[in-house]
Amino acid sequence: MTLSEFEAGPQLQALLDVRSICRTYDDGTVRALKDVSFTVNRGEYVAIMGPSGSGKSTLLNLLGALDHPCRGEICFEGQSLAKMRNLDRFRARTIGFVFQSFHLLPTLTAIENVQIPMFEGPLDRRARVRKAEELLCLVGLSHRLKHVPQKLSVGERQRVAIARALANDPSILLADEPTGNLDSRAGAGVLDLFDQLHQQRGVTLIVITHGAEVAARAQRTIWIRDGHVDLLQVAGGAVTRCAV
Amino acid sequence: MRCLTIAAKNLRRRPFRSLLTAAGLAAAVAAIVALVGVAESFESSFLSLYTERGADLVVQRRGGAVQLSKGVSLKLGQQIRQLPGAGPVIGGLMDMVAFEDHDLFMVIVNGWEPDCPVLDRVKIKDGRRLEAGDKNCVMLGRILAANLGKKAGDTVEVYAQPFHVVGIFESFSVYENGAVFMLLGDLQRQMDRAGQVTGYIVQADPPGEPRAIRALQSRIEALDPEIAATPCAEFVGSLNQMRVTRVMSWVISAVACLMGAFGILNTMAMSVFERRCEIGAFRAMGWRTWRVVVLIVEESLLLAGAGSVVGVAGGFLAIFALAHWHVTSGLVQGDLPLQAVCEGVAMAVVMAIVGAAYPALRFARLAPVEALREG
Repeated sequence: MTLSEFEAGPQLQALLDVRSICRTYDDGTVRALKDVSFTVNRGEYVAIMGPSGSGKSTLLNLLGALDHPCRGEICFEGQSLAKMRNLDRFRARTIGFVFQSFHLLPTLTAIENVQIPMFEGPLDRRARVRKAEELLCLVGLSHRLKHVPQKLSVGERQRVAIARALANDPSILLADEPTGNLDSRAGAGVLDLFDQLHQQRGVTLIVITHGAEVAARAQRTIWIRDGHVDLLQVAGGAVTRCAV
Repeated sequence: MRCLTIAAKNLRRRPFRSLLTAAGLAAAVAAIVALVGVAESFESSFLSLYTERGADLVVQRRGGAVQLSKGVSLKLGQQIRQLPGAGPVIGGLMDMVAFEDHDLFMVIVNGWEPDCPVLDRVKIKDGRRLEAGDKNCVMLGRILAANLGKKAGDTVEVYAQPFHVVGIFESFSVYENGAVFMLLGDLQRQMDRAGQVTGYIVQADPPGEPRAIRALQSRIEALDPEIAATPCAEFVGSLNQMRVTRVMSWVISAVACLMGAFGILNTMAMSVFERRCEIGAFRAMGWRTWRVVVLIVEESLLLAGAGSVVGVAGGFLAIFALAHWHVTSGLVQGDLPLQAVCEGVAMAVVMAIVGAAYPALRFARLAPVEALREG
């Protein structure tokens, strides 16, 4: 396998193309990301690892169009995000976010929380309810539809958050340390769910994690250190490249 | 689920704060409803004094800040009666007195001719009506009689002189129910206005016909350049007392409104600030700026809705209480004008939108990543 093949991953259809992006803060004094490039293919399961402060979350924010790179560009299906006129629509229709701290509305039930992103979709009220029910069944919470987050276990809350991320059938699921707040059993349950989504629904997964067990399930791992891609690793542990 | 459901449930997170804000709004709405209601009722009741009697024009001396201080001659009444297109003409003298022992400071005293139809149209509840030849006699309106504790046959002191109460009457008008009626001659003597009345109310022939009213108006004004014949609604609207009441009610309402808007601004700013991370998550999930704005404004409008319901009820209770308090019962009718309700609710909506606008725009425009980071 050549270096460029490792960078690009298996020869699938390219979904996200990250081209030499940089992100600085505080007028350039803090350089969070430096010249980062990689490609994520459709249907791929990619883990992004690195120590705290290495720029993982900054990268995820850029991939999810929550932030703009100072230099370089990110292309989705060949189209630069910087040139997209409606990033809200892009986020609503293309990206599903799974936050580490879930961000569920405490006063809404599970089924109501899942419907939140659907307000930006084409479904009417009844269809939204139906779909939310289906998604909660998919994540194994069919018996918890009317429960508010406080009445759910932490693992169940994360499942609700995952169901919510799938609400608009996104092309990419971005998860920021999805098992970071979970115990090992609940964490494993969430990872099993990711596997299921990846294998059965062909969802493209990009997961930020500190945990080796998460990376072990991914097809590729991108290591970030000090704001740049340190190395790329395919499943099975073969380190293929040190960037710097 | 609707967006409104999210808004309603958000308010339930901090029930005490939501309750306090709604209570603040309710107080503002109640103040607006009560003040505007009293002002409206004041004006409409005053207008009804003329319209219920079929009057088309009010004839008074032109100009003068206080109409009560100027008079017109009884001779003018005769001249008006002889004009073509003139129907019934009623002349009356009016004054205000106080019954300080009973905390009544603005009691209307009307002086009527013995054959005046006003005396025939009130309903006698006790005693009899005033008749020609009565001297130092009065009739008391029902509310005034109750407030003074007088009945037919008693004596009441007016202008520091004893007057014999010949009857207690009930009128369609709250003002008359709180008023003293005496014969014109007696009141002219007390006011030192021999041969004068405060003004006339005149019906056109045919009554209510705009062209006939305009023609009669010109003829009356041609009799004396110092005389103004004014259509009733225009006359009531131009009264200084009405203007002052309106301006006062609006000034106080504006202050109440401003306080309500600040209350809502404070609550919504705190509420949104606490939830900025959540708003960041909404934006990350693709919610557009306007949808976040709508959500926040809806929360504010729900508070305004609750405040309006309680406020309108409170305003009505305030009007009801004023109508039954002896000091104001002769001036305030106990009804709730629809216009006051509409204005109160409209103001609540304005307060809600103004109060929510800043936090809504401020936080909805925040970049999602900043909102998430700040949270």
